[in-house]
Amino acid sequence: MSLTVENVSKSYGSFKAVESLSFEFNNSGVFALLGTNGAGKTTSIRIILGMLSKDSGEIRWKGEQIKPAQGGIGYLAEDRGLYPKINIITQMYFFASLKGLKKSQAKKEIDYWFGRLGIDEYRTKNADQLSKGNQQKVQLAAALIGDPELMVLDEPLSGLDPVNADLFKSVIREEIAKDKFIIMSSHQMNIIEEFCDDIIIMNKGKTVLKGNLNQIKKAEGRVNLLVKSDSDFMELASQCGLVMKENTPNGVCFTVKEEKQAHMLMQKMLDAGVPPIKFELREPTLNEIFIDRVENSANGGENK
Amino acid sequence: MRFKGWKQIFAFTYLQQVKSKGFIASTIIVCVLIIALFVLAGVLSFSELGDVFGSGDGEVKGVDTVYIYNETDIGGYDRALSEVIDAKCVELSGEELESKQEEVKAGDRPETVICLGYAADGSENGAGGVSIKLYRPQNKELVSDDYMNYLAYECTEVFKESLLLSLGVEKENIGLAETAVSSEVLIYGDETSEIRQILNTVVPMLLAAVMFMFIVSYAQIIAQSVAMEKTSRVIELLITSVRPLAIVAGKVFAMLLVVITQLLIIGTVVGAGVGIFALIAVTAAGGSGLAEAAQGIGEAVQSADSSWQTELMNAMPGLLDPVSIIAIVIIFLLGFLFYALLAALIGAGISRSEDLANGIQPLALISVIGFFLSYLPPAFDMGYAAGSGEMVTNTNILTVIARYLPISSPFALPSAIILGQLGTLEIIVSTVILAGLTFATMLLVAKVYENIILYSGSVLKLGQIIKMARSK
Repeated sequence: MSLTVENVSKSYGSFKAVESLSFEFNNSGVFALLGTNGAGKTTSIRIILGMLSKDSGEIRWKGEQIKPAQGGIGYLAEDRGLYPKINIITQMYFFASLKGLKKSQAKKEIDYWFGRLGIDEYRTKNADQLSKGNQQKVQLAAALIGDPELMVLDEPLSGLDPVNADLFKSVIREEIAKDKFIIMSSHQMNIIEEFCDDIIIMNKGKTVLKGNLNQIKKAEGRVNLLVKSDSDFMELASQCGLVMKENTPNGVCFTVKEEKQAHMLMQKMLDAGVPPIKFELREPTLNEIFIDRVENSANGGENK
Repeated sequence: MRFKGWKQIFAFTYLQQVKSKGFIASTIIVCVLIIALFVLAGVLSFSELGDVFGSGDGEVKGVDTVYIYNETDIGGYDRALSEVIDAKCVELSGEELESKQEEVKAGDRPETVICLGYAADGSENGAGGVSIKLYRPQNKELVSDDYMNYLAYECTEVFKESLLLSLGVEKENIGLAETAVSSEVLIYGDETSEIRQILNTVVPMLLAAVMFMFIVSYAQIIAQSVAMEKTSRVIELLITSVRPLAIVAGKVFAMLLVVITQLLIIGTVVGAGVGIFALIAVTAAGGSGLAEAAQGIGEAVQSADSSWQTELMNAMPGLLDPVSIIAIVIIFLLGFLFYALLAALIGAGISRSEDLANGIQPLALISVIGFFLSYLPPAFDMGYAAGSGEMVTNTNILTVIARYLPISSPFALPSAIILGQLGTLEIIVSTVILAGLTFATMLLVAKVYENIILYSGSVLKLGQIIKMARSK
């Protein structure tokens, strides 16, 4: 079971919204689709879901071409939507019927998800009587009904309070445990790092980076050095050829070209009697990789 | 596969629409108005009968004595009148007249003085006509207006009958002698009767308004529904399982069923209203119960002027003709489809709820132009006929345009078919033009709807939508 996207392109007139998008999602888990605003993520998601026609390329799910509105895919859209003046339970049965569920099965699943997400008391309320967070829970329940093997979650945690964000995360973990394939799009990089194995970063319709997140980080190397000391060590850092990236109350962060620069600084600080309180050599965060690649792409850099 | 899921959309849209406050309120208001109209008509009928025959609540005040001063040569008028009214009739001499008039004028008794005489043109033989004057007491409380009107009518009828008897007409032939004869001037090739003239103006205006109400108001609901699904982003969820075209199909057919449901409810209420009217009328005439009501309707139909009925049916030959009815149903369906698809297309071009009012303006504009093209020509004709005395022909250029232009033909054709103003070929040509445009709209929707529904930005104009269809 896998999702394969091959050379998918989509243009609106002369504007290229998506250019030769390709990736393979072979193992269950979470695949991250990242990009700046207007990078082509939503267009790509719509094409994958069969909502939008593509100009070229192929999308196969379990070896078969994805057809328009074929169903069986759970979707939590970034722009949440419910009928404002219709009660929640009526809407849920309607969404379930569109997914081909019989009423008894729909009832069973609605009861389960309403209980799991803590929205049972709102079933007879109209959507416009619910808070944004509760509307989001209803939407998640709508996406999960029918037990879809493939799901697309677009900014699933945006706008949620910490308690509800935690609830959503636990639901996503449960789905991962059930061997579901989840495509997640988010600007919250910490969430992506928490859940995703593979990522793809897009900018202006083009793919600027893709692959396994751990491998990408390893390939980037430990290029960040965070040092904190009670004494001044900036002169010593300069002697080692380190360039300061930022100075925060947590310490000074340097960009490291080679790890031996860090070793040299440690030696010099010890020799000079300036012991570090904090000395951390680490890989770049996803957020740093994302910003670096997007800026690099904007400046005409090559794709990796 | 292309229309998979349309049934679910159909069922959901239908149930939500018939449960909506708008539908319930509008249906109840129309039904209440219909029932109120029939009840009012029945009560008025009841009141009229009760006032005249004294079966009301005692409000009718008649007279106990009628004093008659008769200057004509017709004798026995007092006896003849006393046979038809429930009052004493006393003939006065010329000497008694003045004093009796003073007595009745200022008196406190329910009495009246009637003076019959030849009209004041000097002729002695009645050639100038006869005048009947009824004097009532100054105290208006003594005798009611309705009774005096009734008495005036009976005085006239009794005099005419007495006149015929004095001329030697047998009593049993008086009815024949009083047969009403009407005449009218007709132009060869345009033999339009008065009834037909009225129907030729009223029916097109009425039917245009009814068709407009049912077609356009529901098309606007479709536009609002599509726009609401798009602006509230529900559409994103729907089209993962159902193709946009199936959503449109489900919505349009559901709305058509809503229209039919409302028409059936209104039709049933009209039937009930007729029953209530008959019941009130029959009750007023002394009967009671549904059987009498039904009998009353039957008798009313039988006793109606058969020539008037014939005239009515001649004026509206398509009213009960099955082929005409089928043609009207087809035209209604095509018109509904045309406006509904156009509405869906326009609704899909709206991305923000605040653009809704502006977005559906083109639909409102097109439909209003179509409506007035159908409504105004008969209205102008009516005004012209009233002013000139000439017949309504319904052949002016605007009427012809309205019947062939697809934006107006759904409103104009049904009345023309009912009134028998169109030949078979004309009906076919008009219907084919309407069907052609409806089909073209279907193709346009099929071609661009799936892209438009996900479009986000300023309101799409019809021209832009057509351009999109061409460029694809």
